[in-house]
Amino acid sequence: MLIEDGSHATMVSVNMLPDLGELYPEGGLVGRLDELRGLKVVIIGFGKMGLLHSTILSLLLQNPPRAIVDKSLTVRLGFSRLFGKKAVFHKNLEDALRDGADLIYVTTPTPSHYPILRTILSREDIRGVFVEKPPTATHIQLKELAGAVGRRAVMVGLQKRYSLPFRHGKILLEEGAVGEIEGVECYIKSGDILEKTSRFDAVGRGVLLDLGIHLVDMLSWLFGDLRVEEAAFKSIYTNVDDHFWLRLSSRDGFEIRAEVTWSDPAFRVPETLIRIRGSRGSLEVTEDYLKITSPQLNKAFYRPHYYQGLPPVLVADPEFTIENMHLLLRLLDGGEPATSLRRSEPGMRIVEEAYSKAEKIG
Amino acid sequence: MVEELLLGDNPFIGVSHLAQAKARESVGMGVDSFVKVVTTAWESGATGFTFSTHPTNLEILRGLAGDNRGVLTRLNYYPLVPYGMGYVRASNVTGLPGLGKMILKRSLTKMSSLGWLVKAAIGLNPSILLAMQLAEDLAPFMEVLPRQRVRVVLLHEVLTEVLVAHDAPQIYETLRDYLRSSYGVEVGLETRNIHHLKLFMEKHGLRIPYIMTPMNPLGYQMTPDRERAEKAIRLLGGQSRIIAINILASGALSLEEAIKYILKFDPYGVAVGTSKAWRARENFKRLRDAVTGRS
Repeated sequence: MLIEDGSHATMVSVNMLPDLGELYPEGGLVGRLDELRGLKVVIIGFGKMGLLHSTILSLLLQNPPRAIVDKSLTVRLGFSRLFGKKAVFHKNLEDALRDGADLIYVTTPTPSHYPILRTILSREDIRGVFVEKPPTATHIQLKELAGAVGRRAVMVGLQKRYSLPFRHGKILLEEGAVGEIEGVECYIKSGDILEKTSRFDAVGRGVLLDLGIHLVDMLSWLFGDLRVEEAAFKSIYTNVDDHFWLRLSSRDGFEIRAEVTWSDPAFRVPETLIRIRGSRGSLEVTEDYLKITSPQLNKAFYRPHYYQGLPPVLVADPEFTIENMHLLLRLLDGGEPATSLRRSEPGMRIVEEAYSKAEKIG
Repeated sequence: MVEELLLGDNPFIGVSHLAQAKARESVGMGVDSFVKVVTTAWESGATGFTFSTHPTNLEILRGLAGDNRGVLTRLNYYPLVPYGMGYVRASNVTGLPGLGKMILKRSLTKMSSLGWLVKAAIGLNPSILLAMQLAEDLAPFMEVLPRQRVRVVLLHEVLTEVLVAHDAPQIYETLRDYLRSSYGVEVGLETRNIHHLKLFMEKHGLRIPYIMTPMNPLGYQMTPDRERAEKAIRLLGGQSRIIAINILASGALSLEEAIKYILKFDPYGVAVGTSKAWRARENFKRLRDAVTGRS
């Protein structure tokens, strides 16, 4: 194949993937979208992520959001004129909630997540909530909110966990495909911040909280309980951390070395890479591919192997649609989302511990 | 019948739908080698170039204008606007409201578009400001390109999906009218949600002259599933010129597999990207032979 070593990717490779029901259970939503007809969706914060989720949901449900809340007059005026009368824009959350809401998306800047979620979770009539990552600015805020969820579907936008290569990686690790884990190297890198900005002064935390949360969340998901042994950071363009290094230890005795940056110009789009050394082989996985080397399996799987005619809507990366489908399925069937507030706690605990131990360098 | 064999720009600007690591390798190859790829593609049968308004592509076109003017004047062009990642990065620094204000300020300085600005103000129509921004993104490219060779300007999926999702045909209409009046070009759409675009066009009785969309036998990037995407492509092919992209499913398929599949749909154009001159030579020769029935 052109992908690797001159051989072609074929359906044979796809047949070597785990069962689709295990890898992509969200596919079950496709035949049930009619059950969600008339769902009242409210989006709070209509920046880049609010627009992304609004677009995905509108295409999936064939129904634009009922209401959009944004503090900025430029955003309210601009988008209400762009979209016409189909979406109603409000300045205040209370005004948007007056007409009722089934599902609320919180895609505002991080410092506002906590007060907004407190308000939302105090209302009984809201069935589901999505909050963009990081769920809160601190671990203690998250713990408090997690206790107020009740039986509702409340989910954090840690979309990497909905990426099929990472899910495949977890399945292989659970099957012991590379034997006992001996060590892990990983990173999440982007070129998102390459000029001076004071945007992050309000939250007082930078890349580890904003981008690194994806990586540490996945490390907790893949490897269980972890503790921070060493942490260091550097400021480049902001007054907070732009580049972070972590050394973590697992209960099973192996070490994880992690690097997080949003200031690497080589990374046009964010990339997360996790490389696992085991007693019987190795596994390397990113959003784009999974490569495994072991006595049983020596293979590389790429995006086109995983995403064949799925998901049903494609806006940005496929994992964004899959995470939305996951939440919609939980609304229909109940059950705790894979990235619920509670399940996001271990990652946020690592972030908290890292900031408390971090040494500033450079 | 396939009329256009287009060279795509993804490898030149660091886009890979296969793996970002691969994209980073390509970018490092440099503008001179990309100019060579374009020239080789043309010599081997490519009839056009489709590209985002990324600075690297401008350098490539300027490179062609300097040393390969013959190639520059013989190719047809299918630019895509906006270059989405550029705006995403800007919004990371300023936030979306900051980005909106920046676009507003820039538009207000364009006295040449005074008539449109008045229309924007009277109608409180920010689509016009958006159109002015897209025209500005295109401007340096239009200075280099032979105008009669620009077949269409395509709105990038980052914009298409938003206006389809939010049921806003008026945005397309404003952008189309503005770009038509500025550059005398048609305006088409690029999408990865072709079935939804079909529904949108039917609902509003909209005719889009050119539609660019992924087409491959794996159904990769074809939504909501391969079958419905194919149905939409066949139906829209009767009224729009369809340009197939990602025919190799980012390298997961051989060119033969891709060609066999694509020819069943008889699209107007087929785009293939590569960062290597030898592959451009091989692929475009095979594509040309396939569409002219020589293989």
